[in-house]
Amino acid sequence: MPLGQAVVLGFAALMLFCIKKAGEVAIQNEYASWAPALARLWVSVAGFVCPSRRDQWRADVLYIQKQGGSGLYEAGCHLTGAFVLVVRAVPVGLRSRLRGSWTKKAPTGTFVMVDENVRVMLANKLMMINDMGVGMDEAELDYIVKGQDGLRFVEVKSSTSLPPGSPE
Amino acid sequence: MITAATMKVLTEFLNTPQREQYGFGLMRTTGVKAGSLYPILDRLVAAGWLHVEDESIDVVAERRPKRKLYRLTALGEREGRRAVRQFFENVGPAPHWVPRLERA
Repeated sequence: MPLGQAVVLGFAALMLFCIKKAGEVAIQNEYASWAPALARLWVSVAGFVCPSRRDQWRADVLYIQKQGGSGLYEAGCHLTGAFVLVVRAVPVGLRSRLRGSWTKKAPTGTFVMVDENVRVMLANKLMMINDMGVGMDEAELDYIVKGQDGLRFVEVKSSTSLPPGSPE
Repeated sequence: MITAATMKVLTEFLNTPQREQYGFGLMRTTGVKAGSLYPILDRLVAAGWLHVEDESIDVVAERRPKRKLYRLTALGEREGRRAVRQFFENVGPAPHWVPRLERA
């Protein structure tokens, strides 16, 4: 190997060694300065991805840093968790939206399974029938009664002064 | 029916029922990741098993915002213990070929 090449290679090796040492020093000795800042940055990004949790996460990371920790691990976990939370929220939002549009179009008398309960579709409302044969909509404005002649829909508003549960 | 992650969170609350917990702390103690932890907390709050409130601190003096603190309710303690017991009844004892875990 020519002398010039050997000198260049040696110089490059020395430079790499110095850079590695500087990196180690920066990571170890300056951890207390860069780690909390990086944790706060990660929490800010996580809050940007999942805005509903932004204030909560920011308060948590600042509390941990006030206690002397960096919060880097927790912030990193929350950064990845924020994306998971957003992805998980999509089917929930879609389901409620689809359910809302479906209840407007489903034919009256359709029986459906919701949350392990049988519900009946009546007058554009999903109602669950209990053991007593009475069902009520979520707003508790209308109810249905299961009689011998089938299901009967009763509108509370139009059923004079009778309280819910008293169809006659 | 509760999941193993819900079980870990519930157990953490049941170990110290009076203690108020916060999100980052729960993640550290239970090992449940944020993507699962917050939906679990939301479900438990909606079921009335947990009560959530803002921390009562002076934000100016403390120089940090208020955390959201979760605390077990009386209903949560009663139903949580029942759910935990049911969980272990459903799981049953470990098979003989599972090595015993050394407790720290």
